[in-house]
Amino acid sequence: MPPTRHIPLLHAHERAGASLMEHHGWKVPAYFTWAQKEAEQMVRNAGLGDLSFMTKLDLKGWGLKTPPAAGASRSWSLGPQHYLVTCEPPQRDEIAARLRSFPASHDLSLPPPLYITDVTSVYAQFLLAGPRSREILGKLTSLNVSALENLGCGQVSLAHVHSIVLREDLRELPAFHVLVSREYGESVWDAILHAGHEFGLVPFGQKALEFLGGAA
Amino acid sequence: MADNSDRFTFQFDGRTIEARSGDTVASALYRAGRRIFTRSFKYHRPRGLLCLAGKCPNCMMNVDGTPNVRACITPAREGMTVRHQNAYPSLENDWLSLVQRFDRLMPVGWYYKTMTHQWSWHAAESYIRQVAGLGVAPQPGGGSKDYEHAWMHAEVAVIGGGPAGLQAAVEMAHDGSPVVLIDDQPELGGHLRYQKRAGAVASALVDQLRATPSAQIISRSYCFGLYEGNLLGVVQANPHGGAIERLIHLRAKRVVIATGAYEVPFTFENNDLPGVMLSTAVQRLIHLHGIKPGERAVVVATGAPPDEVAEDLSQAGVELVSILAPSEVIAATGATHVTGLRTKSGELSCDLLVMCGQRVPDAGLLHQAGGKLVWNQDRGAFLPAELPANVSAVGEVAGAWLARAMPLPPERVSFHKRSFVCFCSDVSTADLRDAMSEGFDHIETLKRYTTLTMGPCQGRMCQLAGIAICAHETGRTMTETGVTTARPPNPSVSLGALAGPRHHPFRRTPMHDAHDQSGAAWMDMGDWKRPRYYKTASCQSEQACVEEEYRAVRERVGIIDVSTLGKLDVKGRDAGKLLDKVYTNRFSDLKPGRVRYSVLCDEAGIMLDDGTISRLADDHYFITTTTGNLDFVQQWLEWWLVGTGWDVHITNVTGGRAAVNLAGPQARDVLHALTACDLSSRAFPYMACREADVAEVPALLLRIGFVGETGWEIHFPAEYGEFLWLKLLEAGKPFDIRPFGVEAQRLLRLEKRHVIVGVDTDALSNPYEAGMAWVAKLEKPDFIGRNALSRQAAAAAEQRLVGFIMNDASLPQDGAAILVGGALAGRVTSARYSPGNGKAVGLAWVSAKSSAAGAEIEIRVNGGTARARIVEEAFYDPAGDRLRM
Repeated sequence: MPPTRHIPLLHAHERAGASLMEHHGWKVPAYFTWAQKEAEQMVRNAGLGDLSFMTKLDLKGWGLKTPPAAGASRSWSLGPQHYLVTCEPPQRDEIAARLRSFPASHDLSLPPPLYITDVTSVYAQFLLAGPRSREILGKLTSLNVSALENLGCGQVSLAHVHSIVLREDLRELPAFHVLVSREYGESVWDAILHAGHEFGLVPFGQKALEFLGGAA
Repeated sequence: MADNSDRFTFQFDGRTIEARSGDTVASALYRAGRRIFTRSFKYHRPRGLLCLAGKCPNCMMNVDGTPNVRACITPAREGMTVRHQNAYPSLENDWLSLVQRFDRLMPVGWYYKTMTHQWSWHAAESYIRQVAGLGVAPQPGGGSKDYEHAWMHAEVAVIGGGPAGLQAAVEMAHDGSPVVLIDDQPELGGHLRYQKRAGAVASALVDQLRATPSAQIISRSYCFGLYEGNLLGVVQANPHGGAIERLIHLRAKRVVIATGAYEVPFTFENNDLPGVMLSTAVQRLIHLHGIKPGERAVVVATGAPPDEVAEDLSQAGVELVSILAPSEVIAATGATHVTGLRTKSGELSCDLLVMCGQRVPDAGLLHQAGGKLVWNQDRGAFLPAELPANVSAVGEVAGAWLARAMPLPPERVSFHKRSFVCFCSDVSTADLRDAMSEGFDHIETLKRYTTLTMGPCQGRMCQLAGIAICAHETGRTMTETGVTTARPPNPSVSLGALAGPRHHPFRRTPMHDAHDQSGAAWMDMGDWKRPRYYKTASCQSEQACVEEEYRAVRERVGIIDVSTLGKLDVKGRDAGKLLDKVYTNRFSDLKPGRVRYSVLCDEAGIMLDDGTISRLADDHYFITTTTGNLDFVQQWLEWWLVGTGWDVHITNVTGGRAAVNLAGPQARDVLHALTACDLSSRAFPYMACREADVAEVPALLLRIGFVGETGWEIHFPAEYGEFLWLKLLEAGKPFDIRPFGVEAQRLLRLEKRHVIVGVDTDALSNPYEAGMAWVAKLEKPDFIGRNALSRQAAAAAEQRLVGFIMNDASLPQDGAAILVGGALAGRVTSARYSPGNGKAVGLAWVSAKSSAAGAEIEIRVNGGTARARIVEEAFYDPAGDRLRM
């Protein structure tokens, strides 16, 4: 059995009092205080969760003229012929297999249409969700997050660190994924929490997300 | 009106001051009897409330540790601590006020006239630095509150919360467009707030705006700059309990300036005495704070004063002694507060002098934005014209309701050393006359020579008077004289607000917490945190710990976290072609499973970076770069890729790959316990790479050796970083494995004479002079820097990077000077005590003629010199046998 995977901030979450759980082979925070309370706080103000376990595939290649569609995944355009595909860990192999079967040209002189690099570990991924999330991001980045529509994305400096911001609302709740290079994870997590203090931002664990999904 | 039922206290200079709800710091202090609020910048003259609108410098104080806070627009809060500034020992008795007795010895342009020799400045500097300036900057790290930055975007930004601004914001937000209104006062409403007949109008407009969902109001915030692209710099005071100030970068598609107008004082002798106030300040005291401003008042106004002023004074119970024209006034009298007025027709006794001055549009932002200001004789003001696109002006700032209150330029000017024009820098009418007589008669040179308009108020109180006096003295019109250029920041901004929060991001490797547990002593390498060495119970000093770590690697096995190495994944069928073009070595012929070292040079052949490149598949390479150069190398590769049409895709995987270097004679034994991969030198030779599981973790193993021992650099997914690190330590226990830090690594590599690019090389170093000629493959048809390197290969080197070993026990510092025959001949780049050699060894740049093997050099050590011998080969295992075992 391969060992359990560690998200970048595992020990920081432990120090913050998080109870841990295993989630698709990753050790992640289950809750920091109480799942229902964290979910309510997220709905009322804002919550910050660590979703670094999410699979992230970097796709590049001449064949990528349209967003690659592959099952239960999201495709985010990072540049010309450059996409980031995100999905839950169990879907990783299936989606990667589907992407690899991307139709190649019959012209063998052309390079392969698609290069896939698994960048799951490259990025720490945080989910900032709640009605005050825009105001919190407004203290950290010059990106006009109000103009970022659901399922839109941008690359920007956030808390002095290059970041990818993906908007993926939780039903009616505005929500933003913040991806930063893994080694900066703890610094950025702290910066977001600090910026969100005045708005009642609290960290939440996986159970709060599950609670929100069930209750919504 | 202030609410009398809600009272609280704060501290001022150790005294408890009672304040009421709605009070500012200044109004509470005034109610408590304080009349001197600050001391002037140069002469330390007593100054009292003048404008009460945050426009003048007369009430700047230290509030909760923050200097130069304008007390008149800072709401009083329970428990706050306010202190005076720029006075010693107290505001009432300031010893430095003796300076004003010698004002004739301090003419305009004093610095230029007295500091004519270098010695004079050196003699005076320490004294001047002690007494000059206003507030004292807080100590770094002091206080629990922080400064913040924020970014906002709006369709329309309205600057100014007076009637015009409110009306504009209401109309613009009517259709649902996002509108942000910025106002610097504690409450919205502008002058309507303190004009009793208009109070209801203000309330109605404010209510209407607050009820508009798309409108956002940012109160107690001032806009200090309007930059290109309608970017506004806004500072918000105390945005929440944990912040002192917030700097908002506000980007708006359209900017409406509604900053209104403000009153400016008249110029006469002692016009700066406490008790001499602008009429709007008096109205504020009466209507906003319920304070009787004085007992006996004289009103100075051109023509009839506004009815409201006389009425307000009367209703507040102030006796109106007289109403005078400015031309009647000779001087205010009194030592620390106005006690009377000397006029052409005699003396008047009063404790309040109310100036109904000219109203001046607050047009600084419009001027900054590129708008032209044109003199309007009827209105007595420079008014905006030719505004940039998407910038507009409304209300008094655009000239509405303004009227000229006095002839401009004036018919007569009273030149006196104590008739002040600039309250910020104590510039008097006499100073301006003297400056102009010295030839500084252009308004811009007059500004620079006298510092007029350059103080904290940025010309709000003095600009119009300065222009008028300049015009009067030179015989020019106001239009010909022109207006001084407005530049941001206006008003002044604290450095803390510009610097922003105390947040410096740093990078942690996946094994950070494990290092902490092992007693790592940390060092910063760029943004990275790296263990310098590990403290253990058996070693008492850094040197002892480093030596233990060194011996573990040389004699047994050691492990170091090298996750900070830059890591680039390069894919594509033309990847080899790109690497051939950019690196000095050849990579298109590198076989999969092999590793090659190379350096990166620029067009001039200067070494920029180095690293290893492993070929994982025909179209897949893995590059490592030095820790600090990752971003540069990625950009460099992408730069040279542009326009080629080659199929190459570069992905930065630094954060995603943990990396360790396992090195030492028993490294193979340790690794063998965790992997099925054949690690024998026959199956896995030096400079080879293999993909294999280590403790069930998928890893890339590189057989390379920076420290000069048999070893593997192991790259693996970061999420297993701590797990595999601990597994390797556990597997190494039977061999007494030791984690080692950067300091031991630097010593180990120095013994092998391995160069660190950027440490042992600089912006002029090429591979030939650095003793790395073998890395430049000039037989390649082309690569970046090839032409320059070809020339360098043929030319005689001017300097060389050489190894040296000390003759005695001395240890030179990095950067120490090298002497040959007593003359400077180079510098040390790295030096460490080598346990293997029993002496210090190092690398140094020396002139080529002094670089022969065996030559002796002198090195500066501890103020003296020590002798060393140049060594051609590595100090340890020169043949490299241990790497290949």
